[in-house]
Amino acid sequence: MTNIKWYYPVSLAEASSLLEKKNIVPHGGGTNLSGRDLSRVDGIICLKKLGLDYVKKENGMIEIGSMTSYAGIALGLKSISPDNILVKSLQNAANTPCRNRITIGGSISFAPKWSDVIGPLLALEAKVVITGKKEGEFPLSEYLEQKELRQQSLITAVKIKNFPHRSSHYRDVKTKNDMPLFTITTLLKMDKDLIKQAKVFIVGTSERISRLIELENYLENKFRSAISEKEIQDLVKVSFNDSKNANTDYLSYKAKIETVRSIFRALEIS
Amino acid sequence: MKATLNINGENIEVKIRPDEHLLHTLRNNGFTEVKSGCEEGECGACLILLNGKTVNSCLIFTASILKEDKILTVKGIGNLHEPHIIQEAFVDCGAVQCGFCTPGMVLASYALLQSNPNPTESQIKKALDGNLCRCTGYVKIIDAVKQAAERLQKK
Repeated sequence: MTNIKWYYPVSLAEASSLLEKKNIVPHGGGTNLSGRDLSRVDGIICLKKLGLDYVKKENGMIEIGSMTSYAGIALGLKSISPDNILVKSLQNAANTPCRNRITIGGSISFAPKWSDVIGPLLALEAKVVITGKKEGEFPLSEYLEQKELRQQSLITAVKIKNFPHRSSHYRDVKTKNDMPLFTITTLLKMDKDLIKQAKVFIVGTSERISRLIELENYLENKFRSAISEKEIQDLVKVSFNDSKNANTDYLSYKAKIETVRSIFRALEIS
Repeated sequence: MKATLNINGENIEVKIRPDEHLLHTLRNNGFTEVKSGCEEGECGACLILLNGKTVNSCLIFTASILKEDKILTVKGIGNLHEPHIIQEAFVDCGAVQCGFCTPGMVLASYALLQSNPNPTESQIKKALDGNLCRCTGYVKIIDAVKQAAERLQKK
C-alpha cells in the first residue's frame, strides 16, 4: 500500500509552499507520471484547481497556461495564430486521447527526447514562467539547462512572441502514433522570398537538442531560389546514439535528408 | 483514500489507492465495459470521456479526478435495450467483431459527432487515431461512423 498524499492547492502561493516538502511532484495531465515508479514519491500536487488552462494573446505575446493540453493549445491558437508552428506540431503529436491529456507544463518539465513541443518552443524563443523556489520568466533554453530553475519550482505559463513565420515540423516515426526518434523544427521569418531569420532544431540527437547554427547562418539573407540541397545536407552535422530502433549512421543520414525536406516544405518548394 | 466520481451522471463513492489508475477503479466498481488493453495509452480500449473529451483511463490517476468532473463510459450513452444510434450503426455495418475495441471506438465516434456532426473520412480517421482494432481492418468502423452521422442528422 502506497502512502502517497495528494494535495489540491487552490492558489499559486499554496502550490509554491507545497513544493518545499520533500519528495513531492506536481501533476499536470499525468500521462508521464502515471507510468513512473512512484516508490520514492511522498506527495503529488494536483494543479487542476489553479486555473492554468488557457491560451490568450496580450501585447503581441501569446501566453499559454501550463495546464493547457496539446489539443487545447492547437484549438486556442487556431483563432489567434493559425499558422503557428505549435499548431502543426501539437495536432500531430501522439494520438487524440493523449493530446487531450498531455499538458505543455508537464512536457517541458519532463522534456523527453521524443518531445514534439521543445523544438517548436525553442524556435519561437519561448519564455517559461515559474513560481516556487525560483520565480520569474526565463528563456526555455535556460530553464532546460539550469537544474536550479527546475528544482522546487512550478511552471505556470509559457510565453511566445506572436509573429508571422513559415515553418515545418518533422517527426521521425515508423507509424503515426509512435514517439519520434527525432524531430526537426524549421522556423523561417521571411520578407517575400528572402529569408530574414532561420531557426533549425533537431531534438533527439546524442546531445538531446541540437541547434543547427551553421545552417541557420547559411539560410539567413538568402533568397529561396538560391538554396542548395547539397549545401544544406553538408551543414547538418548531428549524431545520434545507437538504439534498438536504428543505428547512428542511419539516423544521421536520415536527419540530413529530412532537414532538406523540412526546409523546402517550410519554403513551399516542391 | 475515498473519492466521489460522477460516472454516467451518477455520483459514486469509491475507495482507491493514491496511485490507482482510473481504469482499475472503474473496472473494480462494475464498469467493466471499460476494457483493459495496453495500459500505456496506445490502444484506446480503456477510452472514456472526461468532461466530454476522449482520454485513456489507464493514464489517469483516479485521485486527480475532481468531484465536478464528468466521466462517461459507453454504457452512459446507450445499452443493449436502448442502444445509441452510433451503437446501432456499428452493429448494422458489421463494425464489431471480437468487440474489445468497440466501447472505445463508439465513445471516440460519439465525441467526434458531438463536435462535428458531418465529418469527412480524414476527420473520422483522425478522431479514431487513438483506437486500435485488430479484427476489422477499420473499413467497417469508418463506414459505421459515416452511417451514424447520417442517421443523427436525419433524427
